Amino acid sequence: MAAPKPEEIALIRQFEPILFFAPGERFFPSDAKRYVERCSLWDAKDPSPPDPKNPFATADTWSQVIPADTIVVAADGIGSGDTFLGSGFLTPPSGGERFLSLFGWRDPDDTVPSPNFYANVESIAQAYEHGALKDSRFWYHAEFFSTDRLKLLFATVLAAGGLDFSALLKPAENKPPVLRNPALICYYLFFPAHEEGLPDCNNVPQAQLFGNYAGDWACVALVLDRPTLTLPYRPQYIGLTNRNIGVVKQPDGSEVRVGMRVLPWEAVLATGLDHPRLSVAKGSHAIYHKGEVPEPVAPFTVDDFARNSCGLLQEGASLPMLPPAGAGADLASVGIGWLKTVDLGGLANALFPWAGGIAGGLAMVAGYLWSIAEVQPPPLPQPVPPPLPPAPGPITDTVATGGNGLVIHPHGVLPTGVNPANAIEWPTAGHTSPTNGRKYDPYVDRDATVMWPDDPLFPGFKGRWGPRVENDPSLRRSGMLFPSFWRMCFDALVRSDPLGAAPVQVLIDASEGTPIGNATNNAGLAAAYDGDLGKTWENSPTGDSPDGVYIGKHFPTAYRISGIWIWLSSDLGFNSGNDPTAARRNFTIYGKNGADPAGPRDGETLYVSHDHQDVLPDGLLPDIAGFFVAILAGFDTTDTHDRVWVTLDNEQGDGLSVFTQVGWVKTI
Amino acid sequence: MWELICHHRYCWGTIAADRSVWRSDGQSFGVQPLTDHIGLHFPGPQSRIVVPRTEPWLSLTGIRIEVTLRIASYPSGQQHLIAGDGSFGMYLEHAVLFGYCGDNATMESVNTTSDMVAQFTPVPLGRWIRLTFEHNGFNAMALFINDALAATRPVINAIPGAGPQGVVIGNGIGTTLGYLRGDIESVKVWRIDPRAMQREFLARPLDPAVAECWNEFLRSLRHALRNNPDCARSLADTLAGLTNGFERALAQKDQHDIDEFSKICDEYRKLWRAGLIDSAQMQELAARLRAWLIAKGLFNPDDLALQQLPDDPCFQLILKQLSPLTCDPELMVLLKAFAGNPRRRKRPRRS
Repeated sequence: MAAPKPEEIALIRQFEPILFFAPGERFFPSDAKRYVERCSLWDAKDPSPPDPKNPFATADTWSQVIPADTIVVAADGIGSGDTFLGSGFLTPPSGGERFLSLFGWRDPDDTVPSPNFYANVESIAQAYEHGALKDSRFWYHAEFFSTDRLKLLFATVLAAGGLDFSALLKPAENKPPVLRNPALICYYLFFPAHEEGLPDCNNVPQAQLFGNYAGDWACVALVLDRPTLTLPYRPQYIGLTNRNIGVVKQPDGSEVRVGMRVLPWEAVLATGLDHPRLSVAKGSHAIYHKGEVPEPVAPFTVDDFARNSCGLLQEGASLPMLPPAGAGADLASVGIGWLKTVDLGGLANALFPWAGGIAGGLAMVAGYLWSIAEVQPPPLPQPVPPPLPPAPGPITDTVATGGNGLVIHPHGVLPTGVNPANAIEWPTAGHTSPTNGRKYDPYVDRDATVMWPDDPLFPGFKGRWGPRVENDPSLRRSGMLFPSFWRMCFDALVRSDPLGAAPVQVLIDASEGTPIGNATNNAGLAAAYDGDLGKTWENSPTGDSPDGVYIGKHFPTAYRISGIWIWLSSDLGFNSGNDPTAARRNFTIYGKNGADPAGPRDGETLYVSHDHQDVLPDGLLPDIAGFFVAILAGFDTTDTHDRVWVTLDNEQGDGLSVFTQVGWVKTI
Repeated sequence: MWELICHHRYCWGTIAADRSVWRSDGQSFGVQPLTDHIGLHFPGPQSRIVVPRTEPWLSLTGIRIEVTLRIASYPSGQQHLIAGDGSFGMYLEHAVLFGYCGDNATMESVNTTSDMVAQFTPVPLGRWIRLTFEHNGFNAMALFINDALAATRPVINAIPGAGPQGVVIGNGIGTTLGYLRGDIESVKVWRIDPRAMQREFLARPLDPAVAECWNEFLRSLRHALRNNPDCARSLADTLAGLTNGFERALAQKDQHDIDEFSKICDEYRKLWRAGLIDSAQMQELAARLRAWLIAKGLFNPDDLALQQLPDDPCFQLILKQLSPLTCDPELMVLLKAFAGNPRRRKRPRRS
């Protein structure tokens, strides 16, 4: 794949994402090429005999292959003393692994039990915040996949026993194909390090480093399509990556470090805009669409139970299983029973030193009963499946609420409401180093560089993008391999619902419709839809009616309203007066058709905050400066409405109430 | 307890992609995407979706299958909704729904005429319906039509793992006569989660010292198993026999006893998850469980198989290679409670 054509670059630029980072984020998308050039390359071999459950368990057999600052990834940039990565270094040695290392491993301290257990994330942060790699930040690597190339890649998937994605392009009887002339744009995002601790494990220091590693890849993928070859492309679907909190290592030896979910383009972007607004979760770099409230992260593979013990029971993540007994053997259960009953025989004398020869039998009895205590007789068959068993403790990502963290955006497209001091533009073009003549380009050119391994037609680096670490059988702390994002995107696509096949919630563009309500004081109704999330109370719409203060929209067509985003003013919240921290109020959402409401309650009730005490404490809106809440469930969506509004209680009429910004969500 | 192992929803042409974490993808043959609805049409004898036998299908025990479909006609003979090789299946004979488990030799089945709950409910033609078969892995099978219980029947055997021909949707295995005359929108399959016990076991709060104790123990156990696979298998079979024997005996009890046992086990799980392993409540509960099991005839403290296990040469061989668990003092307390207070062996008097 040669350098992308100008029209492909134009598409890449047209749909560049706007990324909102959470405050406190230390790692930002960076130029992977400059990272590689500063790294050293290492090989890891297994000790003999190898432990298949815990390969490369110690660093004794690891060795440096190429020293730091001498790796080049393009054949035309090789200087004296440099080594071209493509000269025999792309593929790990047989039975071994190959990895890049920027600053090696973290030194042991109170939280780290041993050297070589964790990548040296602190030094990487220093280099990117203050050091030599600072200027390589705020960079993506974008790749355009044409229809013809996708067809070739689909064939490789099918030949390898995967799904037949080409079925998406085939018409059925009386039915057009799902995609006619598709293309794919992948915005690869390279984060120099990944930080992921475990919640609720404050007494376990190393739990804060549970999933830390160097060399982290994420991706925003756009599936484009056009009815004919002469018509312009339009995005159809968007793929957003999230790391996998399930078991990473698969039975076939592959690794699932990240996964992707695919959403209809309309679910992410309001009509008429091109740049998707996306939030990047702090540390984990999971990607959400802006305003989405992250749900507990779901694993892409089976649960990883190590989280249950705050990571302390590393061995417990995969308890010893028994040799297969054939189809139908309940290996896991037998394994646990085995563990409990047989092994407790070893405790016989410790448990019952006075019991002499019967101690072994007593221990058997104890272990047997112990295992019986965990038998779960199932209920009688039920009409609906019972809830899933409790997974390991939930993990929920932290994303920016409003524009309070750093924002990376396309050139000249500063998002509304974002402080320019917090905003940085994507590069508009590549550049050439004046010292060594090397080119640094945001557009992937597989002919020119050997970084990209996921296309069988091109050679690419198949090693880890960060150091291997010791005693990491679950592969959580070692650098990740570059995933096949293009395949991940189509894989996720066909495991999702197409637009119209399942309800999708979409944020209605703020410019659509006409504001309605009685919050006409101060900045007036329109201010609730100006995109400025950080306004003060004085610059927000306010009202003082004791019947309730309301603000809403009159839409040109009726929508099935299913959610609302509410922001309060950045200085006074909704300004309830004397005791703002204690003040909380109920709010109600109404809908109506055909005419504007005559008052705050003149409509059909769609949502009452009191009835949803799981969303807000006591179901009441707290009067907190800058407070934000997104409510995306619990609405009565039976009917559609062309007028919708939210009314905040104000029974005493003793003060002014305000929503500084309101977003309406419809289900399509 | 249930784990989703297969979720097909046919909305992307003929692609049969699984949405569960197990990636039970299928390969479709002779099917057509519907134009008026999400789903696939099965027009002829070759029509089928084949799901290869992968890991989750090997260990089932219990199963729950939901098929959302539209039946076009009732042919003579059977039309198969889903069939797992020698393991389980659902099919229709005219308007009667059948569910079964086992292979030809051990098959047990339930249907909506012989085992109907109230009155016979025919499977309707020409409209979208959801048909469900559930085997709870313990003592009962049932069929549901649009979530309403249509038939139930006691069952003796657990569901064996699927054989090498895997799972076929919309047709039978080894036949072309039993294809579905209709359309399928989605198929969901759950199994009894074989890692449920592991999940519970690892849900205990641990301090670093006890965690390291168990890490060391599990490392040594893994090593011992790997080095002595025949012994490991032999002991595992012995223990599987004990466990299965207990579960079968429990399944024969009336529902009141089963519920009582479940309640005790729930209490145990709460204490275990709370880390109250050596607490007075846990000791009381262990003693209560022990007494209850004895009273119900579900446990014999003098069981020869258990008592003799320590003398088994394989047991001795494995045991020698294990790291001690005495570094988990809370566990010691719990186990003493489970062991009860047997009479001490009298020491011989000095003459």
